[in-house]
Amino acid sequence: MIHRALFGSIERFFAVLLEHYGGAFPAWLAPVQVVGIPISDAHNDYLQDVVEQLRSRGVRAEVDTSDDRMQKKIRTAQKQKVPFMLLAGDEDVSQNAVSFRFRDGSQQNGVPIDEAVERIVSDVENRV
Amino acid sequence: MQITLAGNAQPVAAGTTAAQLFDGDRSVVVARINGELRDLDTEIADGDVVEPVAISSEDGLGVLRHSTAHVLAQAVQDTFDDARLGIGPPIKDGFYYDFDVETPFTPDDLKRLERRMQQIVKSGQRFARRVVSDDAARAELASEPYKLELIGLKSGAGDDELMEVGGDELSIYDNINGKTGDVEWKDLCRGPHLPSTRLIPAFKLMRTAAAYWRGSEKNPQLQRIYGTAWPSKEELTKHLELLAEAEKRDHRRLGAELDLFSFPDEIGSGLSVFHPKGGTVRRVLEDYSRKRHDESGYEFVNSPHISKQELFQISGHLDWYADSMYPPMELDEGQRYYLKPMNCPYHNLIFRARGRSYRELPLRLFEFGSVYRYEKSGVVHGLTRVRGMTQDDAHIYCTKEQMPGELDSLLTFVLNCFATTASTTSTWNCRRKTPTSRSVVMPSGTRQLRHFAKPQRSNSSSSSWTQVGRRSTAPRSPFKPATPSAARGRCPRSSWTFSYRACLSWSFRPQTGRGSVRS
Repeated sequence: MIHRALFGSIERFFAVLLEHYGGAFPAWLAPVQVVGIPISDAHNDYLQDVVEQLRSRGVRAEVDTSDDRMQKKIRTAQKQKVPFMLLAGDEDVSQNAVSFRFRDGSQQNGVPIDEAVERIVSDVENRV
Repeated sequence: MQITLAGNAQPVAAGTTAAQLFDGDRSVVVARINGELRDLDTEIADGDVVEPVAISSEDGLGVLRHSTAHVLAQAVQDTFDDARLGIGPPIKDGFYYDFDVETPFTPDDLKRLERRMQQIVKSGQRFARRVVSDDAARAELASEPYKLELIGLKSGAGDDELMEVGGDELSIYDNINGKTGDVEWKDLCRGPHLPSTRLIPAFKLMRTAAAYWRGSEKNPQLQRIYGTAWPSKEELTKHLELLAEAEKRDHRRLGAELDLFSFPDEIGSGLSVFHPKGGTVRRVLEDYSRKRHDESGYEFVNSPHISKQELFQISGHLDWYADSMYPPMELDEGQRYYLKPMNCPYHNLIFRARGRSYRELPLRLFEFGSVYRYEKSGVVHGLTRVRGMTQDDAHIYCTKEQMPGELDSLLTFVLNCFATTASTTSTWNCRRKTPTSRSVVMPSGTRQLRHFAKPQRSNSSSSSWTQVGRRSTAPRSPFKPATPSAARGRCPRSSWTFSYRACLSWSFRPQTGRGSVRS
């Protein structure tokens, strides 16, 4: 008989991964993978639609509809180490697009919704 | 006279000290004379082999830190009249000193003590060694009850944290005021020390903790101050930055900040609850593990969290590890039940639940099994040393011929899983005690196991199982410790590793008819 426990204990392995990544889990492990951040309340529903599309593909996504200002919402998501922030304002809505903001603070504006969804799904599935 | 200095033979005048040999080199803080660390003011004898020990070497750092501990102790006794001395050894990256004081030290106390230490360092006190007889030491240290206890011990050999005694002779180190020649302070110590407090370039007091005298909870509780000391201010700063970075990454801190898990007091030490976000990460990990196990031909089983005493008697756990198990519950007219510490006995029962054909092997049983181990409160730490945990536990039953192939595919499987969960972690695997090192692979195949498990009648009349315990005459496995204490000694992190052998011994017991493996 061969005895083996791969992770040892889930708890310990969890702790090791948590410290290894400094809390910034790769997208496939992150508890919240995408946060939608509307530039103003007017864009809540627009982002909600995008988030629904992501959820239907198995992505853990939500929209921050709190009363906080946009900048505060970005800081909150950064502190929570969410891998993808999707921002949307009037310009994005007019182009049927969203703007990515990543954990390192870099941003990519005007990405068509379909492309954004595919990119996130592919990163999660490939365990990037 | 003739000596060997740093590998070269050379003549020196009688009465020469080690300091004179290295004169001018301020980086040399002690000398290694005939293999032993000695103070620089030691007189060299004919034929001695002498080497310089630099402050930045491992030994040099130890001396620097121990001398800093003496400075701390002096500062404490200057500041708190009633403080009595415990021990104060160098440790990894620093030192500590234990004190018997009325009230625990506060952060403000540490600041005051640091200022006093700075004064002592600047004043350039000499460390001077003085050999004393037992009686003289007792008379001098009459007001230090803990030191008196150590004088009686004489030999501290083997105890790295006992700097007081352990040499051929007892010695006291005096701290001598450079200007007046007065003895400012003294401590029982085998040394060696820096020549002067002025050679302490950079230090910092880190934190306080309670500690029992000589590590036993039956003894009085002392207050411990931890500090660190380095050969330069830059190295001290770098060390403090590293600590700050590690602190930021501490999983207990991240767990609270990211709302992942907690350890509510009401549940008990070492028992965690996972919050929704932590639960999500955990589920993703488990799903991944399940999927990979499924693909690799494992079969999924389940077992309960408690069972009757008899099971752990047969498995050998109660013989060896009763101290590390939660105490039993008495139910059903005196029947004793234990929380399970390992999953192996249960999987073995599943294996032998019916007759197994040779063709069923290899049989790979997998379970996310929750186990409970009564770890001492002092070692419980975050999620890494807990009292309740879930293992991704598997047992592979195979023939000796299948063993190499099973091991090969198992190792490939393990490496692939780690490559996914920590994609950039080749260095990480080297730096940490990797989870793979937890798994113990037993050395023999089925036929050998049958040979190992030479049957012996169980004492229990209600059981037809046979038991191979430590009284067995069967050949010892290299994994089997000679005694329980030896097991603990050889495996300081956890003695559980060794109980695998106990489970193993009865899983393949030869039996007529049902339950045996025919080859």
